[in-house]
Amino acid sequence: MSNEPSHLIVRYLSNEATPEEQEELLNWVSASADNQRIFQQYAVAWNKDEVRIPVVNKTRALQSLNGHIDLIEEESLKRSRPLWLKIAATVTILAISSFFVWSVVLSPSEIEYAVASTISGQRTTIQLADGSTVHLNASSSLRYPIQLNDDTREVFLEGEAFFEVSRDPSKPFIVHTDAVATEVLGTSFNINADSATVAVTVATGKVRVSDHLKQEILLPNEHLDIVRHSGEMNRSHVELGVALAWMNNTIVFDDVALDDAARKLERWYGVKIVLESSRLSHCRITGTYRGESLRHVLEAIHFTTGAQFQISDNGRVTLSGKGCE
Amino acid sequence: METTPANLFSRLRRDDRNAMNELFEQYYVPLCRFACSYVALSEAEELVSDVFVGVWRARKTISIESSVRAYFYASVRYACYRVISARKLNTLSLDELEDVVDVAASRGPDDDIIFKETQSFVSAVVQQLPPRCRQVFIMNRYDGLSYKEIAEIMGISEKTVENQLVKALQVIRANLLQYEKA
Repeated sequence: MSNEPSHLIVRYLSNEATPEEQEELLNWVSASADNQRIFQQYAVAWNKDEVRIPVVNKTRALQSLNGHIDLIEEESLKRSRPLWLKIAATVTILAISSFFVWSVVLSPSEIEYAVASTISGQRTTIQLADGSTVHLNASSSLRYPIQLNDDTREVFLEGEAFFEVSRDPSKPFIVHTDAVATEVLGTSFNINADSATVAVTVATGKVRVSDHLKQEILLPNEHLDIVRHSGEMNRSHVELGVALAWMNNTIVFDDVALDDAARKLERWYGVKIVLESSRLSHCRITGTYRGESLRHVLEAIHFTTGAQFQISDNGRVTLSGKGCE
Repeated sequence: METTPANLFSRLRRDDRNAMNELFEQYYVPLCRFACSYVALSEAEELVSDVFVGVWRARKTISIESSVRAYFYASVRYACYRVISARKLNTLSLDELEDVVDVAASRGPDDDIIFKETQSFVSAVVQQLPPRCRQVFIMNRYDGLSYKEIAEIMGISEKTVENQLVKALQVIRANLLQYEKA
C-alpha cells in the first residue's frame, strides 16, 4: 500500500506530469491488477466531487464595478489641475541620492519614480505597487518607485505620512527622510519629518530607525524623536490617537509649545504665522480641533494664552501679547 | 488569441474597459468562492469587487511577472488577510492566514457562518481537510490553477503544493474506501 507512487498519480491527475512521468505511470499501472485498482481509486477520488458555485449577483457586481471606474476616471480628469502634483520622472540611480550608490554596483537598472505631493490643507492616499498604502498629510511629498523592484522597497518622504506596509520579509520597506532611515517588514507607522525633530510613531509591528551611527527598534505605541542637528534620539510611549489624529482631519495639541503649534497650523492651513514676542513661544497649549477653521483655533489659543491674533489678507497671521513665563 | 489573460491585461493597461469586463467575467465567481474560505460571502463579494477596482486604478503600474490569474488570486488572498487582521486585534502575518482561519472555523459564532458557507460549496470530506490543503485542492481541481500559480498565490513551494494535493487525495480516497466497506 505504501509503495504506491501517489505523487506520480497526483501529478498525472492534475495535469502536471511530464511525458516521461506519464509513461512511467502507465508502466506501473499496467504492471498488475492491484496497481490498476489503486490507480482507479485515486481517479475516482479525484473525480468524486463537483464543487458548487456560490450564489452571487454577478450582473449587479459588474454594474457597480463600472460605476466605480466611471468615478475614478472623472476624478483623474479633475486631478490634472496643479493641486495634486503628479510628476512621474525617470531618475537614474546615480542621480537619486547617496543611499543608492551601493546598488549601482549590484544592478545597473533604472528605477522609475513618481512623486505625490500635497499642498497645505490637503491630504491624500497613495497605493504603492507592493500593496502598501501611504496616507500623506498636508504640505508633504513622497517619492516612490512606480514598479516593484527586486531587492527592496524604498521611498523618500518630506513632511508627514502614515504608512501601512504590506508584509514581505524578503523586501524590507525603507522610508528615507533627510535625517534617518526607517525600515520595516510589514507594519503601520507614522513619520513626521517636518520640524526640527523627526518623529516616528508605530501603530503595529516592529520598526527600525537608523541614522549613520546608531539604530533604535520601536514597537507598537512607541514613539521616537530624533533631533535633526544632534542626531539625539528620545524614545517615549504615546497615545496613538494623538499621533494619528491628522488622519481624521483633527489637530491635537497635547501640552505643546506655541511655536511648535504654530508650525503645525502653518502647514495645516497654508498660512504664515509670526510670533511677535519670543516670550509667546513659552506658552503651552492643549486642545483638540476637528475640522475647525483657522480663526476658531486661533480664538481657542487666544482664550488659553491671552495672545492676540491678526489675520491679514495675504494669509499672514501675527500673534502678539505678553506671553508666558 | 485576443482573450488570453495576458492579452486582456495589456489591453487593460491601454485603458480598455472591455478588457476589464472580460477579466471580471472570467474571474469574479471563482474569486468569490476562493475568498469564501476566509470570509463570509457578503464580505467576499465586496472585497473581490474592490480588488477589481484596485487593479483598474493601478493598471499602469502593476507588473505581473507570471500569471494574471495568479495575480488576482493573490490579491484576493491578501485582501482577505487585511479583513481578518483588522478583525483580530493582534498582529498576524500573511503566512499564518490559513492557520488563523482554521482556528476561527472551529470556534466563534462569527466564524460559524464562514464555515457553513464554505461547506456548501464542497463536500463534507473536502471541507474537513486542513485549510491550506483544502485550499490547494480546490484551486487545482476546480479552478484549474497550475502548481506554479498556486505556489505563487499561497507563498509556498511547488513541492508543498504537490504534497498538499497528495494528502487531500489520500484523505478523500480513504474516505471512499471506508464508505465501500460499510
